[in-house]
Amino acid sequence: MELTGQQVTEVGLIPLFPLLAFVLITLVTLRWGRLSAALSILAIFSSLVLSTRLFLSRLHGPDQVAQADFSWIDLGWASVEMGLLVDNLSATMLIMVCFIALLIQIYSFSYMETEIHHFPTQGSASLSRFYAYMSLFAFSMLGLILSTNLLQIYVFWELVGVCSFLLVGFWYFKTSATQASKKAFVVTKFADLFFLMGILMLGTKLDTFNFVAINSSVSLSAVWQQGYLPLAAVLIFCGAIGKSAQFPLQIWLPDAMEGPTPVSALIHAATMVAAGVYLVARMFPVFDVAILAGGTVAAIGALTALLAATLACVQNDVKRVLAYSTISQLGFMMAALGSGAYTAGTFHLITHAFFKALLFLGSGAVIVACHNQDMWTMGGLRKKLPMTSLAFAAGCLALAGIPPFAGFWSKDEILAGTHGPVLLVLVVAAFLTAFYVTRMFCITFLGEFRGPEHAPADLAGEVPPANLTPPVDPSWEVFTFKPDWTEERAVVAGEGLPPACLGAHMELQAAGHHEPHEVSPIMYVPLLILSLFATFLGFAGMPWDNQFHHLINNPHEPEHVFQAAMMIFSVLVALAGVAAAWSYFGRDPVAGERRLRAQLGRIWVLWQQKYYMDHLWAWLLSGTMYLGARVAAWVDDNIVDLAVNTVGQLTVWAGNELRKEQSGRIQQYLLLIVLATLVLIVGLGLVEPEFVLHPFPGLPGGKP
Amino acid sequence: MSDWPVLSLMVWAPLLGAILILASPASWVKGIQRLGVLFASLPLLLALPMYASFWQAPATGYRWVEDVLWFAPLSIHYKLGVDGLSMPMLLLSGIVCCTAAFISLQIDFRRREYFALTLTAMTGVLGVFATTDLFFMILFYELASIPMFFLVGIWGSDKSGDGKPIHRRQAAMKLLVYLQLGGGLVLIGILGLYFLSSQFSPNQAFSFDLEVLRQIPLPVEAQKILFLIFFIGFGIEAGLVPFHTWLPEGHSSAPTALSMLLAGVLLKMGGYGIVRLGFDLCPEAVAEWMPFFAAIAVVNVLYGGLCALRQTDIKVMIAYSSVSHMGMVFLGLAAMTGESRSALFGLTGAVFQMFSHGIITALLFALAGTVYHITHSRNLRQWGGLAARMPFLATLFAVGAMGSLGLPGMTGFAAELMVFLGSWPARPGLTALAICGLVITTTYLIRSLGYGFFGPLNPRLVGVRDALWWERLPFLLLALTTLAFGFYPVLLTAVTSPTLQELVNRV
Repeated sequence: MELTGQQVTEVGLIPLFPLLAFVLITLVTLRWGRLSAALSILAIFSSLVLSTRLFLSRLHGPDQVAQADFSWIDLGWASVEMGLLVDNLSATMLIMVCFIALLIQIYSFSYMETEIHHFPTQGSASLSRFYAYMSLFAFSMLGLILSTNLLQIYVFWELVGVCSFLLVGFWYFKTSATQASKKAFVVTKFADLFFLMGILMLGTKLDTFNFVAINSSVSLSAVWQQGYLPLAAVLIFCGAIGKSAQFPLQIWLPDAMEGPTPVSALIHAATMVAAGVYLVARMFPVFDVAILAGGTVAAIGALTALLAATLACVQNDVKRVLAYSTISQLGFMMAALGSGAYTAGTFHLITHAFFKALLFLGSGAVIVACHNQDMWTMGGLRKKLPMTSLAFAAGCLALAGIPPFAGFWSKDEILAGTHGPVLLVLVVAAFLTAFYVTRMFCITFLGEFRGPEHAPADLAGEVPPANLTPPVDPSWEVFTFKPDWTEERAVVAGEGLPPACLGAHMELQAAGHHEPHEVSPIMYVPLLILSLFATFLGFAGMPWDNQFHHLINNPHEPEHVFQAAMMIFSVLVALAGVAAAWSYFGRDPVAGERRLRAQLGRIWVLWQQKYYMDHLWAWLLSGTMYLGARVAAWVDDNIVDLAVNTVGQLTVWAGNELRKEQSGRIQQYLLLIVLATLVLIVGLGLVEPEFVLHPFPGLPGGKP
Repeated sequence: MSDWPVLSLMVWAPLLGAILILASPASWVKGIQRLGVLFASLPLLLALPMYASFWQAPATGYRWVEDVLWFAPLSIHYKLGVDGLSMPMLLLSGIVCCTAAFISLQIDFRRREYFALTLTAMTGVLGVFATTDLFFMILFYELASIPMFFLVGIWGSDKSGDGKPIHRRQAAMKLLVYLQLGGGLVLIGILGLYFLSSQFSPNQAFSFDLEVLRQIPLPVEAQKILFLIFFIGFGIEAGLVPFHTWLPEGHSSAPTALSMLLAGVLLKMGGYGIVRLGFDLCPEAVAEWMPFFAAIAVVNVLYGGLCALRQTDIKVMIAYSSVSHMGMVFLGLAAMTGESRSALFGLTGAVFQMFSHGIITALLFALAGTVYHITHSRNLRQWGGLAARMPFLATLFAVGAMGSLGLPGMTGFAAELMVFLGSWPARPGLTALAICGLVITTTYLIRSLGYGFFGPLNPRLVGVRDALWWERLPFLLLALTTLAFGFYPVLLTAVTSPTLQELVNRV
């Protein structure tokens, strides 16, 4: 179905409003931070209004796909299209993204002003910069959702990636932020290589990049079962592995927590990282029919869900717990989609977006209140931040999967939709989820406030066990390519330097002693709104009356039967996780943590070291790309250029030698003339004997 | 406008400026600078309406043709004309010349000679794209390359620090030798074409005229040899591995404006020449040689990228990145062996990549040069945290780096996408390898951004300033161009499509 002209305008404006805000902020209002914030919020609000209208108009009637395409590159014989695709899935995603982005942008206003005060070199322009990036991100994400074809989704895929880069590295003077943003960008770019290859493979084989056309070509299922096309589908899934931080490329997401917390909430929890899941959902029929590809998705998803859940259990940084939890939950979604549970996967995508945004924003409030991210410096915040802790608790219950909170319904559906080993792995992951959520809540909000002074020294801090230090940038080691001026040097030489030279350490000078207090309403009201969703959204997807299933119904999805036993089992698993964590952390978190570490022993070290995945990738990177760079540069200097210079020197040498002939001695010249004549005659005789024997054919004695 | 000899005006305006500058007293600094910028901007001012008229009515064939018989015994014509292939190149040259002149205002000694030589080189590069007579093509090429020797040798800089040291005199010599080597090979090819074509033309006439030559059917064997000569000759100018070593040395020693001209325009002469002479005049040789050159193209992409990864000197890094990006041009050209749709994608991608790389690399070199001018260092390790003091330059560097690594919304992405779309059906393996080059590009560009502009500010640079308002104009022009054409690629493809379609049909 084609979109009508008016619909094209209405849908097209949804991403264009934030783009307009981005342009206006960069060109006009860069100096006035608050004005920029207002512009950006206004733009995303307008998008929300339009997407709500769109969503409401689609609530009734069948789910028809409507699209409109425009040529973006037009060569006459061939073209690359851009367009707008509207179906119930994209309409739902639009409203979710706009709504969460709006709340987060409002929240950010207060959060970023606080954060800017910590850095003496930053001012109002930083606020503008933040809102400009946020608007650019909103544009890219909305464009990604509305993509009609693989090339278009790749375009916006890259754009959200660069927004993530800009926002993770938002505090550009911090070395850690710069490193983290670089890592995020390069790792996802690495995955995108395979994504692009898969797109080209699939598109050139099927002669179309359009999702609708690709999904309908699946009816030729014999082609999809074997060989080329499943491989292409797996390559496309590689893009999702990178963007959604699935195993083995999950390494970038925890580091990306260097970005300001609203960024983590919006990009690294609710929206961008879910793009990979959205991509798989968009191409669900392909992964459903190409069994090999679908199986890969399910296996990677389940493995990621489990591995990330284990890592979340040993984190000290509240944001890192949430980061690993996000990876784990994305794994749940992938596992569902790969197993054919389309509704469950997409429903979890939506509910997770709400409660994880809530949790991140809540952690942001905690961080603002405590000036710290280490959970061991917190404790007892329930009394000091009542509003925040209420909202945060709702998010925790949703994440843990306790009925009737939103996460319970979607997670239960996932468990009901999977089977075999995938189900087994997911059950363990669900248990661990409840465990680490409870641990986080107990350490942070219950008990007594510890503060940095009373934090247990053996537990706090981010230093992993000393058996292997975290990997550094390989180029530092391989090339000795370290910058001359670093934060470490700044600490040593700190006295008398301007703050700009101190990097992250400028913050320490500004922050003094501080008693935690409740945050401003601009921050906790969005939290409370989100907590309502985290509590009640699940009722849209109750298995016996699944409104959400009717909404985004996909004909390729097999019918599910409601299993009451499964639901009871899933509740029991979640409760068991909570109970296990309570037995450790309920009374005395510090003692509980010491006990847990002692019991885990070497496994705890393994988890603290993230299964050595960072080391593995760093080692692979220096062993391939950087080694290649060393070899190539050596070859270039010592072989290619040497050859060139040798030719040059030979020329000079030959010139010098030949110059000696110009000596000015007549005898030498005569000798040369005679020699040369002889050589010429002999040479000519060898080549053309006739000419030497009878040089003048016309004269007497010559040949007739 | 059509009655005026607009092309002649465009091509000779910089040389006229050079003569005026030489005639003025050396102490008249302001006047010389203004004359230089004015006459270097004229080509752009003329190119814009021409481009607009092409955009409104795209078609094949040459426009604004000027044809004067210049030397009858050898039937050499002074003939200028623009078609859908040379129009983007002229626009590119116009933009780069104009911005390079602005950047040249940083030069602080012997300005008169500097501007005269730079303007002369500009006439040369414009002439190469505007002429349709091969004799004049060589003439203009020499006019462009000889001044570069002096510009590098006198106003260049030496590189020390990490890696191999580079001396400007040596670099100037290497640059000149390579340019002459490439030009010499092309000259041999052109002479071969000149003599051979007369044997096969209906009336045994000699001609240097492109339009005449392309009507003459040459034997396949001759085409093969000529194509090889043209490809290697122009390939040397375009940084074909292993004939690329003049690039890092030449670029890194050259004064900023010359780096921009070299990377922005002169490299493109190579790609343009391959299409113009290789593809158009020797169409039957394409299928013979391009599979081989496709492999070299991928070597260019990966090898150039890996070498760039090793560099600490920002200008050397950008120079190696040019080697890598020109590999994409070759890869796009190699798609000519495929079926017509992918051939068109590949060829358009190659042309687009030339345009894109010209703009983006000019931007990066301009930025590198300006930061060097302000901080007196080109070593990335000695920069650090510059964003704190030069937010404008840092932003623009981020734009340039993102454009160079192929961010959608900028020209590099559209170009590379078309190259891949064209190249994949025929050579999935090689294309996949070239795609892997993207992550290398990303790594070194993001790293240069991180080392140079992010992190704590180096105390040595506490007092540095940002670009002044008039210094910002060239950066903004270049950045806006790459954004506009990248956001809406039809701006370029509409102009090139008819001509390139015709070319694909020929091959």
